[in-house]
Amino acid sequence: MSQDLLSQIYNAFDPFQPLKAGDPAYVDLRSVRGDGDVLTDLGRRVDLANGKRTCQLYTGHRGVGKSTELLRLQEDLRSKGYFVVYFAADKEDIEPEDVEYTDVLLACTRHILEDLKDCGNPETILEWVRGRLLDFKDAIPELEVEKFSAEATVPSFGWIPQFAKITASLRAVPKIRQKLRNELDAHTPSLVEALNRFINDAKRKLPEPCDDIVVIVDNLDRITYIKRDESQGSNYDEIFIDRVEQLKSLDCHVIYTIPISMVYSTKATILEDTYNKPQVLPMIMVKDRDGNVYGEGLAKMKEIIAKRIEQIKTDGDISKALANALDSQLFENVQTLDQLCLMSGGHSRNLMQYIQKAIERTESLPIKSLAVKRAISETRDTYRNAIEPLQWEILAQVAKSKRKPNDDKHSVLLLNRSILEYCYVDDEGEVCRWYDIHPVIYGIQEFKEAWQRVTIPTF
Amino acid sequence: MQYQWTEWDEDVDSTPDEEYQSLVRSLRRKMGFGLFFVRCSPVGGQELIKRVRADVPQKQAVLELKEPISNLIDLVTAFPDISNIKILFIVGLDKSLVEYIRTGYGGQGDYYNLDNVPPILSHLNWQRENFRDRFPYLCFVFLLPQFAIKYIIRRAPDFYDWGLGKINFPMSEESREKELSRVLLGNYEEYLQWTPQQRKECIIEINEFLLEPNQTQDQKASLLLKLGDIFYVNEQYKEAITAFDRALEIKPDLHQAWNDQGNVLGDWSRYEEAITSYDKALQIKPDDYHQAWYNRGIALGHLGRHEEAIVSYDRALKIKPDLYEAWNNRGVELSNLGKYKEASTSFDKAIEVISSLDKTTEIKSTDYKPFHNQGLVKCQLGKYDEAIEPLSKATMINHQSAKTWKRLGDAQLNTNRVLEAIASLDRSWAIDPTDLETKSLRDIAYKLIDLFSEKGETSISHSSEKIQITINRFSEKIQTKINRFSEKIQSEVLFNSENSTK
Repeated sequence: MSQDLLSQIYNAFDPFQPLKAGDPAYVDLRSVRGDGDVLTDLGRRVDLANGKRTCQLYTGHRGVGKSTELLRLQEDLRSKGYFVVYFAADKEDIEPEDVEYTDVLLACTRHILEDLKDCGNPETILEWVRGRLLDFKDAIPELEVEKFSAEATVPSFGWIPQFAKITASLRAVPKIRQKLRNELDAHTPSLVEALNRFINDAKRKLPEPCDDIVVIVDNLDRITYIKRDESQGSNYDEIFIDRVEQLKSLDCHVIYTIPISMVYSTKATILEDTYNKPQVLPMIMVKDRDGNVYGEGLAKMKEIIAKRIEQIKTDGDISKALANALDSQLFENVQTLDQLCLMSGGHSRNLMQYIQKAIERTESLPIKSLAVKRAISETRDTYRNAIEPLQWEILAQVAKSKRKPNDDKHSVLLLNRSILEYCYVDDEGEVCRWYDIHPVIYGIQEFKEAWQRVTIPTF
Repeated sequence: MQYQWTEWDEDVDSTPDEEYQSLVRSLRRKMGFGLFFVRCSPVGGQELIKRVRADVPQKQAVLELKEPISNLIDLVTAFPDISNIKILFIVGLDKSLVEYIRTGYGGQGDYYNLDNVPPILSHLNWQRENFRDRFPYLCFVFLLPQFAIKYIIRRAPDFYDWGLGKINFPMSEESREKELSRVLLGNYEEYLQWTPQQRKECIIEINEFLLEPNQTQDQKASLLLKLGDIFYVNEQYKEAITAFDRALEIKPDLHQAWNDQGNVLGDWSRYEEAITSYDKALQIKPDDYHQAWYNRGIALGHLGRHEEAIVSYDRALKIKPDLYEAWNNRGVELSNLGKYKEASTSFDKAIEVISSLDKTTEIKSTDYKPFHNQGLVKCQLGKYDEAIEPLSKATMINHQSAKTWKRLGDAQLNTNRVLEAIASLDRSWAIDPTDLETKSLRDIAYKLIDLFSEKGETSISHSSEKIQITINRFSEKIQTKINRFSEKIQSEVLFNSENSTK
């Protein structure tokens, strides 16, 4: 029985599935994340635009709950009468080593087409494709050109998979990719135009009660950071800044998830000038800026655990009882539970990983402090392996000042979650952001040595 | 800002068995999709698979990757009977990463490169959700060396983030002993013949091996010594020095590490430090370490400490009288001191050893040096007749030395063998058309030939009056050349700077 329960708890903390909107395990974390909320921030801006289109950026640390929040937003927008095209860009759409804006645009086109094919008249896009068909055929011999002919396209949509073939070919053979890209780059403006005509046509024929379209592009933060040499910008700059005009050119509301480092790079101001101010989903604040335990945040972390435990189906009220006595029945004492939460740095996925790792080292409940310490040690080891020799002093400076300048050195550390972002609202109602290092790093020898060496920097 | 360190900041070590048990528990408890990582050697991986098979009831299989790949999801999809398998071990994914890493300082420089991503890593990072959705009942266990795990942490962070557990699994003691002797095979001369790829793989293998627990200090030191030697062959001096330092920290009397470190420092032009290293080696092994004495002589020579260098070579030769490289270098130092007669005797000794070498031993192309040097010293002593034989010998051993051909031509010219001189000087000029001395000697030789043909003579043994005049006219030029020659000997004398590691 106890083994079964342990297995169930173990599986209840899988980090794989973002919570669906309305999931009972969802915990409202607004108050410990600086009052930010995806519905009020991103959602309201869409709502207030009053017919104008918006283009917004969304980001946050890996595993902090972005996808969960975006699924909530999607549901909320749907209930308000928006037609939402949500897609997580994956390798089907994007060649990760060599992403260009064209790939993002084509991915959008493909997903918009698939989702709106019953509303809009795709003739404009088809026409655009037909115009380039010979070139495409040249680059992709297996393309079934006849599927795009006028007779074949109405009323069937057999050509849409063919369109997907074009986008798929973009990521296949580098030679084809370059050829297609050159072709596409020259015709991007006309594709945008065709796509926009399609969107506008679709808007008029949306199913009741929808009257506007929102496209949410998730996972663009998955693009690997590549910097070929010091003098040039990174691939992030190329995609999100250099081609900003195209990114903003779709005739509907668009929300892109972007890598967190982007918001704080040297080009951050350009980003803010051209998009609306990006929304960042911060960590849960479990300690305040002075290093004191922040009770409300800690309580929220425990709530996350309790809600997941409650969902476990058991005989009688076992799981409920367990959820009510986390600090005695799930963990051997309150200190163990508190430290588990604090050592996650307010990062929900990390919290869940700790619990799983601790259960790996547990034969029967309650989970002992030694098991939790081992789980923390394992995570510490991951950080030890992720941090470069020259980065310890940078981390020590952030730990001492709780601040960080916007530059590439710090961005890389945000990206691998060595530096964490927190947010709160001060007494004057002002939103304050501050930074700390991941708490396990304090225990690493190289860090302790760097801590001794550095003084509090002035930025 | 203060930070209060507590017991929660301290690492709690687990024994290998505890780590193994935690993997077994997770595999038993996991329902559905899961990702696990195990740090192990290839041999350790085989042992782990066997153990898990005995301890965990679920159906298991092994996907062994023998070649670099860029797509894992398709391979898993095509795996026989995949829908009935619950645990899939993935072995050999590191093969897809080796090509992309650069071996560097303490194994740290490897992952610094932000300029590209191995395709398999971006594949994993982006296909994460597809792995989950396509294989909802499958647990993946990746068996990897440490460097590959580090690489995944850094360049496929989203994928690694879904990992449920990471454990270390050392190999059994018996396998470790067996593996160690395999890893330690080879020596400096062999490493020189290896391809850069072979050396890179060896560096990775040693670094991985060093992570295995329970090794004796001697074993670790031998691994580090080999690591240093390979870095030395790669001309990665900094890394080589670090490796030797680590070896010596463990085993301060590892004389070979001192000697080899001296060689690295010498090649890096840090001669004083090199000498200190050799002295350490000789302190440990004073009686029969001819290699260190010889190497020490080379370093002293570079510093212009000729007398001391000679003493060092004498010590080496006392131990190993047939070390002809030492005889050669000793001769070089003597000629640097202007002691040409003694130098000549020393070169003779070297030539004697080389000539007595067993016919089956192949003469190395660098063995022409004592012959060349002997010829050079003979020229210096004005004995051009005697210079011709050793110089011709030298050109037979090594056809590509422009300086040897030039000096031979010079000697021939000075002994009135003009046609032969032209042949030699042409060879020299063909190899090195920038040497102005070769050019002027050649001009003289051709001028002489012109004069002969005017006279209708074919040999200069019947030297006529006019030829004598010409030679006199040029003799001034030749004289200046000879004056400069004593400076030149320093630049032309051939020093054997190959360090001895044998």
